[in-house]
Amino acid sequence: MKTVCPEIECDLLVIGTGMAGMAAALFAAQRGIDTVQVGMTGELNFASGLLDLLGMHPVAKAQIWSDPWEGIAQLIHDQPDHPYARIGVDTIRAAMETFIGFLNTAALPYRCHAHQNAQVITPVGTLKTTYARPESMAWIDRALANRPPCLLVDFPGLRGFSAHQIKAVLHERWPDLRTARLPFPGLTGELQTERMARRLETPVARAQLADAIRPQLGDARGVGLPAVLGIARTQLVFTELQQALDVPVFEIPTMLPAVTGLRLRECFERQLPQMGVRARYQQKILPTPSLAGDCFILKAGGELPEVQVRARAIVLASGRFFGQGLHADRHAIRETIFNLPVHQPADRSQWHRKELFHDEGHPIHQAGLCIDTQFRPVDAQGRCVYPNLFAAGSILAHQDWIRQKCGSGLAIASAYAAVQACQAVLGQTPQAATA
Amino acid sequence: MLTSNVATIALGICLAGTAWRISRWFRSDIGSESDGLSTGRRLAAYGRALPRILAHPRFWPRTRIFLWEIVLQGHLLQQNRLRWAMHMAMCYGVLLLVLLHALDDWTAPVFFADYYPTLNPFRWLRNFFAFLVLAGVLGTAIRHRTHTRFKRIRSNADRLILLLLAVIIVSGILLESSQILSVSVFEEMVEDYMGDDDPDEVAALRHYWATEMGAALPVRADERMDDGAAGQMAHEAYCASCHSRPQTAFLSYPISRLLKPVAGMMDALRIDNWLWTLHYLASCLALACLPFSKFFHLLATPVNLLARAAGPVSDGPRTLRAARRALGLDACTHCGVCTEHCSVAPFFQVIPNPSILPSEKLLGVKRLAATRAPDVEMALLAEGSFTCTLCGRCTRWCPSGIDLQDLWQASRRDLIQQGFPPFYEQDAATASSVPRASASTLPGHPPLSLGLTDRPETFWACVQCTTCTSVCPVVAASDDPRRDLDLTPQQIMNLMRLQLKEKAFGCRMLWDCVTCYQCQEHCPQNVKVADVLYELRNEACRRAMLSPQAIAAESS
Amino acid sequence: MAPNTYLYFPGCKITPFLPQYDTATRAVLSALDVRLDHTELNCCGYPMRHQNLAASVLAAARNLAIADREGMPLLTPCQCCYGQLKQAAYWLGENAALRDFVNGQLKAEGLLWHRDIPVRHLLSVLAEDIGLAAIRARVSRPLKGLQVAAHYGCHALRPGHVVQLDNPLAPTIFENLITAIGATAVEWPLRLECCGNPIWEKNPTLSLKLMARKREDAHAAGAQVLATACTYCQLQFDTVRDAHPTETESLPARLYSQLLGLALGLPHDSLGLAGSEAV
Repeated sequence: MKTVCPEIECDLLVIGTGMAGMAAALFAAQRGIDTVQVGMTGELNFASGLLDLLGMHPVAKAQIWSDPWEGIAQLIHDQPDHPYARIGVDTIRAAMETFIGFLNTAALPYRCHAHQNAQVITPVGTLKTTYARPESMAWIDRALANRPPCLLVDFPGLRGFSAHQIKAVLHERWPDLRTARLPFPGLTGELQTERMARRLETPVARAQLADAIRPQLGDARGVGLPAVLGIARTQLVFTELQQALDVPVFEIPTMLPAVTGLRLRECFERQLPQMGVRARYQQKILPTPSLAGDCFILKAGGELPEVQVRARAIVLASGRFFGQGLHADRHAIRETIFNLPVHQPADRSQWHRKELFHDEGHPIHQAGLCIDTQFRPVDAQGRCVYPNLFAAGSILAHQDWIRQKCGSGLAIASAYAAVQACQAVLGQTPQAATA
Repeated sequence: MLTSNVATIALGICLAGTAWRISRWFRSDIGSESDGLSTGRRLAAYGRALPRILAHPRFWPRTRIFLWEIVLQGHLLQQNRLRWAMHMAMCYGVLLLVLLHALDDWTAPVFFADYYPTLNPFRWLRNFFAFLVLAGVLGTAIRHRTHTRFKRIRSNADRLILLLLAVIIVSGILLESSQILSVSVFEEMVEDYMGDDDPDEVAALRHYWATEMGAALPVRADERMDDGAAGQMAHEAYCASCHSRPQTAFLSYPISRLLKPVAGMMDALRIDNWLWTLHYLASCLALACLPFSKFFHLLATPVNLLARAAGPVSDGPRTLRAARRALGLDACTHCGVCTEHCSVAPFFQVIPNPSILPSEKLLGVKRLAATRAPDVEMALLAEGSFTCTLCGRCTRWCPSGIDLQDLWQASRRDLIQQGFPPFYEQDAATASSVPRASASTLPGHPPLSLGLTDRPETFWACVQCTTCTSVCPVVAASDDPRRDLDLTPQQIMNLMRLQLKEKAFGCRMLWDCVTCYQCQEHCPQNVKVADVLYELRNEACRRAMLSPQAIAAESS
Repeated sequence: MAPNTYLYFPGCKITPFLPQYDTATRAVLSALDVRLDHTELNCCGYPMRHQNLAASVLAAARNLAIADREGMPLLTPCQCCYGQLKQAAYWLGENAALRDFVNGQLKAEGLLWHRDIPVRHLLSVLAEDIGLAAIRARVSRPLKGLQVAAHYGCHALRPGHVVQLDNPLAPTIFENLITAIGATAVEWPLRLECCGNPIWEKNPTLSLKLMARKREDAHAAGAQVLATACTYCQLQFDTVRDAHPTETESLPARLYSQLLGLALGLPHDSLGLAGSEAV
């Protein structure tokens, strides 16, 4: 039986819709590269929405860096295989500036210090180091320094977020905190952050929330709320609430899935197609791509192929195990689309150390794709596998982003570097010259 | 005489029945819009409305409708010429037979001063009309048997009516054949009109009738000597003023030739008398049945077509609507055109509830108008009624001009009032209190569910991340999902993971689902959340049609 | 080469309840040199999906098989019909038992369902088969300055890999069509949400709530008109809303066929618009 499967052509196919895939598509679109993006979105639902650059290195010594750039310099020195070492500080800086610049124009403002990591409060009251965070969390740094009296608000029905617990944990660093538990306007029972955030996008709910908080203010000079201040209209919700209360308001991240990640996802889903990216979200690349001359031929779809993509170059940002870029069976770790060589421990017994919280982390987390200076995956002998296939994001080997707290930085910067290298390759080919 | 008494009784039944049927137009209350008005008040409302209707400038164009729709049945002509020809043949064949044959004593002299039934053109016309009716009956029977949708519907009433018509016509034809042949009739006539003064003349006449008029008289060899002239003279003297040549009876005469070999036996048994009685009684039966069968449409359909020319029922005054609906029900000839064109008819191939088909649903609505017993029949009617998409196609096709669209909407209101809302609109609790039939189960058919809810692999990947609940607009619209919906989509998926399907049927989330597929599209694990909810509703609907015992048997 | 003749499938609801969609769609397609063929089709099966999947799939498959017999792609302006026809084709492809049953039933009428029977929604025909450039070239009265909120409708959009109209999470087809007629497509967060109509008869309160939420969102985004391309959605935003007016805003809803017709310079009455309803 024949199946209708139209073909589309592109210069660049970005595989993946997590942080690295979105960043790669963004950078490619900004450079005017004709781009198709394929991937199941949803991973960004589980993103914290905080852009970490480098929090800790070496992890074994639990050394926290207040200046991430210094930390990166040290990391590059200590681990020359780390993707950051391949990218270089200048490119990382350019990547972050471009990325944050884009978010600021896309009504999702982020704030960062030039040479200093920021701190945010976690839902259990500890402090977390990050590089760039939503504007709505920016006030925390100043507050931690000045420690003004503040009110922390939580809502009955919202699980995993207790103002009382945050106050108790933060007490020593920030003694002048008070808490209030208020009914969420218009919602009762169990609450999900997305529902709350969408509710606050209506003026009525915002007004009700401000009216409920105001009597509790007292001498409070700031109000902390779980991160539910809107999704697409977060800027509006945030500003209006501050105006209504006449004190600074700040968001405290919630447990995942959190709206802070959802804001990023919706922002990219909205903006990238407008920038010319031909997005094929909710499709995945189906097994066994083939080559036709210099081009890759790939099928994309749900369960059955829906479209055939002819791509002159690929940025592979398919993620690790959760994103299904890598797959581990009883014997080995495989790359799922091209079956690229995966750097990994010699056998399965060495994947994990006996101790769960070992200082050195588990070797499996360092597994992934090795790349050349052009961000192209290489085999065990260091030879580039395909001249026009690039890789970015967490699929890369020699990094442990969770423990090093460099996930977003790694994704964004490697995407930037991969797109840069890809553009150079595309520019050399005759089609681009004539086009 | 017995026979004339029978006819009088039949006529009496017919008139009384007609009056009763017409009175029902003003008594039944389909659509519950007559505000409890008594029959008298409703009649009065009509009485008041009638002069206005007649005086209305739009009434007179209705004479055109009368001609085109009623006399020529133009609607049907535009739809299907063959069916038009069949119906015209049957309709006008019967009508003219009634006028020129059954009522010949009154009508025939108008056309012919010296009328006698065995004279032409009546002899030929009677055969012609019989031919028309027979052709129509045969064609209709064939259509009912061969059409893909009709052959699934069994209607004994329709068959009996066709059979009765066929009996009347065939007995009439046979009667005429046997009379042509009958020696006894000849002898009686000779005795009555000639006496036996001249045996030669009688012999000549006998010879003439044997050779020229088809009678089964024995012709002796010696009489063959006689030339036909004497016989013809006698015939012209005594018979010709009442008897045309039988060959013009183009149905009866050939049949009489076929029967000639057994003519003697037939005559001995006086079959002609028996046939006459049969023909007569069958006709009386038809007369008596007229108001109680679809023959009544002969009256109701023209009236309905005229009424319909005023526009859709719902455009008219409320007080008149119920009567127009009842009239519409009576105007139905059960011709099946609506079913032929029904948009939802294919559902009937899976759900064997005839009430899905408009021609059958109408019978249910008739029943609903007559009795309001909340029984299985009404449950079936409700299932069929709420399957309808109100596309209006049946109304556009109906040759009787019934405003079916209005009838369906009105009867739905009645069904809801009787406690039979569409299934998906009830909570599981109320659904179980309504008697239902095992209509939706197809013995012998493969289980045509996708089986998603029964396969653990459908839910293996679910990690209870709450994404489906977060994106659900129904959850988002609720202030308190636990109060309004009982369970959220993610909680339903959890029940399914635990194979606790039974617990999910009653929850309101299942029945308030807007089928927007946000949950399924956003599920990071590709769980078919919305398809699962659909399947659960399918399953609940299927079970609602099963008896509790059958469900118990299934789950054990 | 895109076909220029389609088998027209208006669905059940248009003729009795939304005739202007029929008139306007025919008018614009005829103006764009697309021919519509007609034959008697049945219900798409969408309303039956709650009760009995097999019945709903059989009804859809019969329409598809008739289109195949006529040798033309089906074109429907209704998104629920479109979604149902695509869903049925998907499940028939997936489930052999269902396929055998359905084809067994169709066989009696000399019909057959197979995988390659094309179904198009009006929006795809306009944006892809006719093309945005061709539409732009035919626009004689661009709707300059008109702020339009594109309401996508659920059943033509999701599940994306089944219905395949556009990207289910980031569709652009409707906004592109709005820009093509010279209007401005506003950004509004709830553009992909449900209009509330599927639940209208069962739970009117909830249905109105869903509708109000969307309308307020579009209004807040600065929309002057809400554009739909689905029979049920328009019935909700127009007919249902008229019966239950709200005081907060009075955002009118127009069918995309009507907006396109205005931009093509077609007369109001051919678009089922009263003079006062011009936008």
